[in-house]
Amino acid sequence: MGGVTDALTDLTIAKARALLDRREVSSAELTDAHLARIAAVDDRVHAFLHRMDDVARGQAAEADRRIAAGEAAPLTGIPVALKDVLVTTDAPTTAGSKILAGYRSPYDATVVEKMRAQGAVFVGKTNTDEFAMGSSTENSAYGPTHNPWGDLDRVPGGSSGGSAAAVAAREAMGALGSDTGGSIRQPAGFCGVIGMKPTYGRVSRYGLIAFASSLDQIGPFARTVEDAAIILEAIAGHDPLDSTSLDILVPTYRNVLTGDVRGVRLGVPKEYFVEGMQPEVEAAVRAAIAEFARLGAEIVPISLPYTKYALATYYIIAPAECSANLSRFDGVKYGYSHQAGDLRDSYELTRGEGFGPEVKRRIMLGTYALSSGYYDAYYVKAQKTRTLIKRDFDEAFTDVDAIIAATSPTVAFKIGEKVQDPLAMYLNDVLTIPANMAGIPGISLTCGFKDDLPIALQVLGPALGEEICLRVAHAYEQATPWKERLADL
Amino acid sequence: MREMRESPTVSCWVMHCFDTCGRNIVAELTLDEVQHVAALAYLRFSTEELDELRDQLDSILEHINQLQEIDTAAIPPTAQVIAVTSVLRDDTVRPSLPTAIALANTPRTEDNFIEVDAVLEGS
Repeated sequence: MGGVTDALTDLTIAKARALLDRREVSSAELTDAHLARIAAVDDRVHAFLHRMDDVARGQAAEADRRIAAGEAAPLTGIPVALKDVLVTTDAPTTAGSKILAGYRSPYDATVVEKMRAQGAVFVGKTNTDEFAMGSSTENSAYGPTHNPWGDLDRVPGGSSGGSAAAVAAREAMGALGSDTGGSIRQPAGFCGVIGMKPTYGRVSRYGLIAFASSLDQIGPFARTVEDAAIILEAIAGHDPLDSTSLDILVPTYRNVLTGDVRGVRLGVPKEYFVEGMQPEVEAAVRAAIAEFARLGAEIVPISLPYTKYALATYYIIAPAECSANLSRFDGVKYGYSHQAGDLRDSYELTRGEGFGPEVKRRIMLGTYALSSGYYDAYYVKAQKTRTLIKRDFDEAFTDVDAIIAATSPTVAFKIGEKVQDPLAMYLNDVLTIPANMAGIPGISLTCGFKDDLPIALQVLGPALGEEICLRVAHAYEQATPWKERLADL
Repeated sequence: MREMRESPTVSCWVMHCFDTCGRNIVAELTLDEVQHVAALAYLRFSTEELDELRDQLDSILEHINQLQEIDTAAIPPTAQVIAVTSVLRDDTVRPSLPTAIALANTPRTEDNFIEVDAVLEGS
């Protein structure tokens, strides 16, 4: 790799936009550079499940015509990647599962349609834990993704590990992922990029293969806060096809990126400095808090006392919802099918062979929690605890504008390190899950390094508080050197 | 995980881990229970898989059971977090997916129908 190709793949979306609009570079050139980069590095990273080279070249040519006609939108001609839980008509959609091998959706997800309408260029579909269930992308039926940082022997986080790794490895300028318990923020943190989970309802979930419908939310990955804001603006908004999408005006998110956080009240919850947090992570987060104070923000110690119950609550609610959502995979309508001649045999064999171990574990857990005799003790109990977790945040946001905390207690761990111990794997998400429980937005960004591995901070805001999250994250990003450092690959 | 159950911390919360019906919900899962749940979920496992699954579910449930220490008697449940309810639209005919496209991924079809195995015996 060298010269011009490297330079083009290192650009931010905002800079590429300016070059495209001034015709100093074409979308065809930008796209070719990214396709070449994927060809050069993805055998080592494995961020992609399906490459879309031909689609991308066609979209780039169309984008160049649109730019020439003076009709460019913010993402026109920009190469992006899509997590493989978002259905697309012009590439397979597998959700990282064998049960959807070869599946071709008859329609596009709303976010895909919105990106298309802007003239974005799709370079491929990215790897994910099967049905987005996991924290390392090791649960993909198609092999793990390797974190571009360090020695390529670390997980990228998950479940949107492919999207995070693709952006970190400069195989795409931005990407979409989905976050049910941290599946955007945690991999963004592990891969040293920006990842944002919007407010529940801010982005349409139509065409997102459902995992836990009361928690799932689609959001952007990018290498700068500004780029994340550009993508979020493109995908947010009401959709008649998703009744849980909010009919509330989408702000121009880029306008809030002032670099100024003077007087902003930032809550620091003591419960987020958890046992088992790596000392380097704690030190980096405390240094970030000091940096915010230096920038003029008011640091407010707060307490979110029900934080410690969020993980247990999540591991009832998410499996319960997934056990219902995944009942649609029956080998009858689409996907893998084991025809056994008897309906029950066909169902059980199709699902037994088509789903991987983690998905089956969660379906079992959810089915158990919803089963007769346990419904009140588990499911209703978890819904009530969810109320308490949400109230913690409601109360905190009467006093503070945003909350800052570590994204994960550790940096990226080694591939294979936690696969035999599901509970240890689940504990990874202890700091990201509460935001999903409350439905609030959060953005993750780098705040330091442990050796060669990124450490991340998340900024949480009240419901529909994407603007304060972006503003706070951007101010920190501008004041610190972290975004200049790229994975050496 | 099995050994942990002998520890004093575990046995002291076992005492108040009863649900509203007085059912002890920290009892270890039996293989029969795991098999019953698998049947409810339409999943088939080998005996070895069932055994492993029982141990894993036990350890996850042990963690989950810490919720029983919270007093939630006066707390309403939260099923979803937004204030939107019952969104309705006009009941009008609109274009939808053509049958051929809708059935393109279906393993067995006949005359624009999805073919399934017999549901009722003798049918």
